[in-house]
Amino acid sequence: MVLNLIKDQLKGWVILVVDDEPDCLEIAARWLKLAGATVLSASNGGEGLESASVHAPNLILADLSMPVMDGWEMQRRLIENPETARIPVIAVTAHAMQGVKEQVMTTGFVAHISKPLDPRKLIALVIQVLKDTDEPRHCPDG
Amino acid sequence: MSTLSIPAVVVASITIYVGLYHLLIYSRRRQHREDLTFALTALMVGFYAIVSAGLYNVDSVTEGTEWQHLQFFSLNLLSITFLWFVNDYTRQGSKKITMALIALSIVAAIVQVTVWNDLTWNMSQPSIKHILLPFDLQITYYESTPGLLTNLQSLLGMIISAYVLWAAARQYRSGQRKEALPLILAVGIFIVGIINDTAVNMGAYQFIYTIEYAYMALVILMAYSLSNAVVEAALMKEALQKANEALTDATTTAQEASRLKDVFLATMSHELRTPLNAILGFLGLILYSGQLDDDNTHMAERAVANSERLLNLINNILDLSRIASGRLEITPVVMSPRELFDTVHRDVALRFKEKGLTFCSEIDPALPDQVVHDQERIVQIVTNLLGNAIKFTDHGEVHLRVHSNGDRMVIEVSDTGIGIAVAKQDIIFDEFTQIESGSTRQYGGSGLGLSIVKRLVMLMNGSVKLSSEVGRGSTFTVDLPLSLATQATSQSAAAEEIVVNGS
Repeated sequence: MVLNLIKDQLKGWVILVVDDEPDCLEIAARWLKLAGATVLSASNGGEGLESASVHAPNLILADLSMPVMDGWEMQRRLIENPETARIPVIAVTAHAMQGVKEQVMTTGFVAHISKPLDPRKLIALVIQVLKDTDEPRHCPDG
Repeated sequence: MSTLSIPAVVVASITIYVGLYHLLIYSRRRQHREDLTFALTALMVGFYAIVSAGLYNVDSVTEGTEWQHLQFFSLNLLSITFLWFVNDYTRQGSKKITMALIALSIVAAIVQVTVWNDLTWNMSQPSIKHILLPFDLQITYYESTPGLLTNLQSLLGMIISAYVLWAAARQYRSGQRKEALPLILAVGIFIVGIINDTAVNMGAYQFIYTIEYAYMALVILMAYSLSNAVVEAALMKEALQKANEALTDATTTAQEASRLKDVFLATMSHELRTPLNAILGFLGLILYSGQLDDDNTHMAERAVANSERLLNLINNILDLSRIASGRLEITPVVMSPRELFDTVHRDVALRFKEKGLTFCSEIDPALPDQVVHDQERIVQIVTNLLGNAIKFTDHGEVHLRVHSNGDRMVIEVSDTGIGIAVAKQDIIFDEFTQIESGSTRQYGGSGLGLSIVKRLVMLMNGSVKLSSEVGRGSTFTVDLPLSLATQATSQSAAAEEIVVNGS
């Protein structure tokens, strides 16, 4: 049972999910919540930036192609801001976009995962990335 | 005193002009040598006509005799260029006969300018000729009475005419009717001219010599035929240019259509996958929320299985169209084969377990730790073959064996399934083919998987072989370059190498 495998694995961590497609956003958010994380959501790069500077999440999961501001631009701006520069960002890439993956790794993303999201892979990746960061902290509003 | 030389001067002007005109044409299209030889022939006719005009202007028999020599000399030069022209124009003549007749004409020309007066002219019977023309015009001119050589010249003229007629007839039979007919007509006029001149010479009746008019007819007829060729070439070039423009337009339209198709496919790919991914995502959440009873779990599982099948089919169709239009690219990355096959094993192991099949994979320890290869495409190939093995095997075992063979990587998937009849083994890699029409219903699937496998393997410069026996099982053997970086150097070796059935 997947639920038993992932339960409470992310307890205490604050994760921001940025995706313009509400379904994708909800699915990712629900899996992360099932794993115990506190989840914030944003529907484009601009909202993501704002949420990141206000709530200072432990990790950001960002879709790359979004209207208003895409994932690339958001990542660039996150790095420019000293407050958010240290937040690890995982890029979510569309299926079969091999060329993009290498670009992702050279643009400052810590990792990438392809759609459709496999919950086990997602949680495993998130845990692996969080291992290298600070102590978990609770979201002030969560 | 001179009376009338106007016809000869007119002939000379026309033919010299035609000759110069064709020289110009030849200067622009050197590959047509008949333009050059015709130009020379026309100039020679012009020269001959000028000499004739000179002859008609003389005031004494002695002077006339000299002009007569010069006239026959120019006639022989004319024969030489004309024979050369006929050879170029008909392309059906005999080189040997042409050379022989040219040699005879050269000898005749030399004889005419040397001093064999007695043979050439009967000087003992000089003549003053009067010729009546229409409109009460009268030509009076002085010349010698022709001798033996003059008759020999006429004979040579007849032989040349006969030869040209033969060459033109061959040209006509070879299918170049439009080109041959003017030449046949010209030679016909020429023969009539020679017969007339010989008859006048022999005193059969009193008339003008007509040979220069025959020559003019020849020049005009041939000029007509050659200019036809020039005009037709120009018209054809024009038509070609138009066809080219139409082709360019069509190509542009096709490219635009192809681009639109690409955009459409990319959009469709996204639009089809997005809702399906959402369905699978939510179904997964429902299924693993731990709130379903057994009955509901079963139904949700069936929904997941069917959605996955649909997603797989969509992916296959999109892949196939991408391969077919050459838009699927192989992206080599640095990867570990061992890690890759371990992952594949883990990912599919559950499906074997569910069907009660034994699954073993043997990965050759001699495989290098790192190679440059298209990781995703290898996964796709192996997953496709394993998926087939699961689908067509009801009990027994499936083996995945990977080993290196020189600079090749050999991947073997064998099962103990229903097998494939020898007669059907060739068509199994074609699109939409499953072994029997009934099997789609029994086993499911679109029949696209093996077609994609074959095309992917070929894109990576490899090969795929099948050995199978009905009721005993099938073995698919994929032979790929060990590393795509060394692909260029191992290409010829790959073509010759026979896939070794791993044991």
